[in-house]
Amino acid sequence: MSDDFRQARGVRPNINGRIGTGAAAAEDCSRPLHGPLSTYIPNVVVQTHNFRRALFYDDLLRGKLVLIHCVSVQDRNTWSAIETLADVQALLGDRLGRDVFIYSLATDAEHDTPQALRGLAEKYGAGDGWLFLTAEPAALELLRDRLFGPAGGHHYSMNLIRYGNVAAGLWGGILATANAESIAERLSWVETGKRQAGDLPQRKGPAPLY
Amino acid sequence: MIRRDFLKLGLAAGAAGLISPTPVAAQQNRMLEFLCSPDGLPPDLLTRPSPNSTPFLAPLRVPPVKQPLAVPLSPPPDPGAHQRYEEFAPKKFYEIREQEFLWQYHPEPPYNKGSWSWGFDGVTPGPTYHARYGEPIMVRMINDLPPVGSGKVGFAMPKTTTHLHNAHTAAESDGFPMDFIGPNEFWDHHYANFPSGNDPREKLTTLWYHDHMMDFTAPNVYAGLAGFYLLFDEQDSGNENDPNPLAFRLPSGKYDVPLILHDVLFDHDGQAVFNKLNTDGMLGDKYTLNRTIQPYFRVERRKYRFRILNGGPSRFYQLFLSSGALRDKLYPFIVITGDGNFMPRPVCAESIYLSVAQRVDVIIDFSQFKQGDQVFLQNRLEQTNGRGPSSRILEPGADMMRFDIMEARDADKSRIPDQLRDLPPVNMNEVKRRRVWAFDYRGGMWTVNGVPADPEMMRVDAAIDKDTAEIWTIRNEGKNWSHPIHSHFTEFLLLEVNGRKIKATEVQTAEPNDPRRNVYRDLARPIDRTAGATADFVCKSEPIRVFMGGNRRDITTLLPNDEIQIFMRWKDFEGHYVMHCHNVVHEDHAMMIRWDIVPPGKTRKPGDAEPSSSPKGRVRHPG
Repeated sequence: MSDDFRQARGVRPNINGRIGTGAAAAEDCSRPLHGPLSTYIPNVVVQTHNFRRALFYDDLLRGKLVLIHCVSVQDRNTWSAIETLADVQALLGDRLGRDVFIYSLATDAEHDTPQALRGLAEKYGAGDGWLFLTAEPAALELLRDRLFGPAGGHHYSMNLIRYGNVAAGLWGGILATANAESIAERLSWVETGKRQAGDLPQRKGPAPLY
Repeated sequence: MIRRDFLKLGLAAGAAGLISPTPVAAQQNRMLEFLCSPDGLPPDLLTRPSPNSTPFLAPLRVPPVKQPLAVPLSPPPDPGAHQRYEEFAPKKFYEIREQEFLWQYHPEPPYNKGSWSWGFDGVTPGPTYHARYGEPIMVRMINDLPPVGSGKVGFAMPKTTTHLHNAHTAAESDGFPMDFIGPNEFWDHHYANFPSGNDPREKLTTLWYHDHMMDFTAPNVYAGLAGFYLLFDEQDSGNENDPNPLAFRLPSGKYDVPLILHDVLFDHDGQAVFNKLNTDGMLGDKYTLNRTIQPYFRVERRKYRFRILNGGPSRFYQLFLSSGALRDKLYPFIVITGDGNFMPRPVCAESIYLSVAQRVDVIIDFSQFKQGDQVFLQNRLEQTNGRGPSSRILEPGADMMRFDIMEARDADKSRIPDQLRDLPPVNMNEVKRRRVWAFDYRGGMWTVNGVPADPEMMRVDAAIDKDTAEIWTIRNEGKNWSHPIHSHFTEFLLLEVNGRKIKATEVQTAEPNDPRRNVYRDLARPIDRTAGATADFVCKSEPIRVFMGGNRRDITTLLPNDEIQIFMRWKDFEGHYVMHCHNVVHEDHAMMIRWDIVPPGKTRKPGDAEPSSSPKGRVRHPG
């Protein structure tokens, strides 16, 4: 977020890059609760590769099916997951951008600028509904802590893709090297479903051995 | 194809609008209005403790015994879907439903209005199976859970696969993580109820069933999908008045009480909270026994058998039995089993250490107390995060349950035999090969030998010849975390721990202030064969300080830097199984391998592709 933005609030960031303090800030910041884990998943300001700003939870997550993973412009090891997600994008078709969204989360605020991320997005043909996101270092760190590992715990993951149904509060994690079909199928696991009333239970298994 | 259905559904739904983060200028006011980051966000959910609850207000609930069907299963099971079905033709048939319901953890507000839970047949823990060796059964597991988004337990996955923990079960009935059923689907589980290799020394006693869904075991078990499965035979006959001279005559009936321990976190509304985004582990701040917060239990002045199970998801326990305002008077447990099996002889222990999914059966003789006395079951092991316990013992510890002592109604006919069941022998001539499994962490995922589980569970990490034994080295590469490692299908025998050979007669214990807990005490005493089963066990000498397991187990408790060598044998069935960390949050973040039992001589190398005839996620069993 910009300096003028902070000045408008009349507060200064503390050592953690946090804005505002104590009860006064909480009062200022009060917002409607939007569902499960909405107070746990940071609603930080992020910048997209399209040079727009958004609130992470309110604008990008709320009510959606999402895939979230970590990238770095300078770490080519993270690009293989982007390549896989390009295949997932193809599988999702026009659902991507409508109710399914992919977020590639920067890990290196200094180098993962919106311009640099735009380069990655164009390289892999990211369409509507697939956003590369960056933010201030403290915000990126917080997002990684909350989505990929606990505070004080291990470092964020380049190896993990989060998949979630935000409205239901149902989240899972899949290996970043999984193939595109597996990743798309995991999204189907968490998708909101509907019970067919009156149907008798159907046999799923085990299947005949021979 | 699930994926195609998924895409089709999306097209049909089509209502949601395209999000487009609005340009900065247009959104500035809105951002100002709602900017609330990162202030007010707790480092973890535990910083919002559960609502208060007065201890010992609610009685302990004992799950009902599951009853078989009086009519045949409809539609009937498919004999061609099960290995050795005709040979172990089911004698009893069961139907059980996974359901969502309100469950009262505690009688005070906000808990009194109920917490949305999952369970079986409307209860959690689910009903207890009373099974017998020599009596195969068929269990039809029906998923009656609400689909995603229509239920109240949002954090759990309504696709399920039920594992009968440590049973000697054919692969197709074992609850393989990708053998899942969705709402309104069922899966038939054939439990043949015979010991491995038909060796009576391989028998088991206290088992439990729980969900094992790929990526979602932790939230699904936490939501309530667990229950007990007890296996009886002519020795452990479930009848303390059994006239059969072979019978152990352990406390039975209402004096044989299963206890599952779960630590649960609740929100201000009394609803269970689970943080799926934490990869270290999930801790709750309310101790529940059989899903009641800190219950009391009225017991008679006589012997009881308690089957104590750490149901997880991530907490380790060290249990004590104590009394007094300061809980400073301690009473030993008489431990008769470790994990699923009887030890050769009972052990007298001042405390019991249980990593996740570990079990002990203990005898507590309440005749040592007076009517009106109160005795407390406590946990004293400190644990502040999901990675594992600290080495500290907290005093006076946390009360989990209160026993209220009453006079006995009748004479206590139950016994504690001085001899229980011999261990199966280690026979090095059976060993076909050795393998090493190193447990570690990389890039947000928990790994075994450097790799997380295959997301489709198609990679076979070990192909094991049927009717052979192997020696596995289970190693913790982590200095800061603990892993209770569980391998399905067959229990193992300890050979070596951190370079020290372990004798069959040794049990694991610890000395005061010993963070390593790698002390083994040899409890060998000459067995008086002439006395047979007529001798009674009594705690004669000083109890060991802590019982951490006998020689035969199904959980390898890896504390930081541990390396444990075990002997395992595979018999009777073929197919796909798993080994995984039973800190189920670690399991869900891929700390799991697939191993297959294959026909002798047809061993595929690790990493070899599945035979092309195999359907996805399953294994066919060539004749």
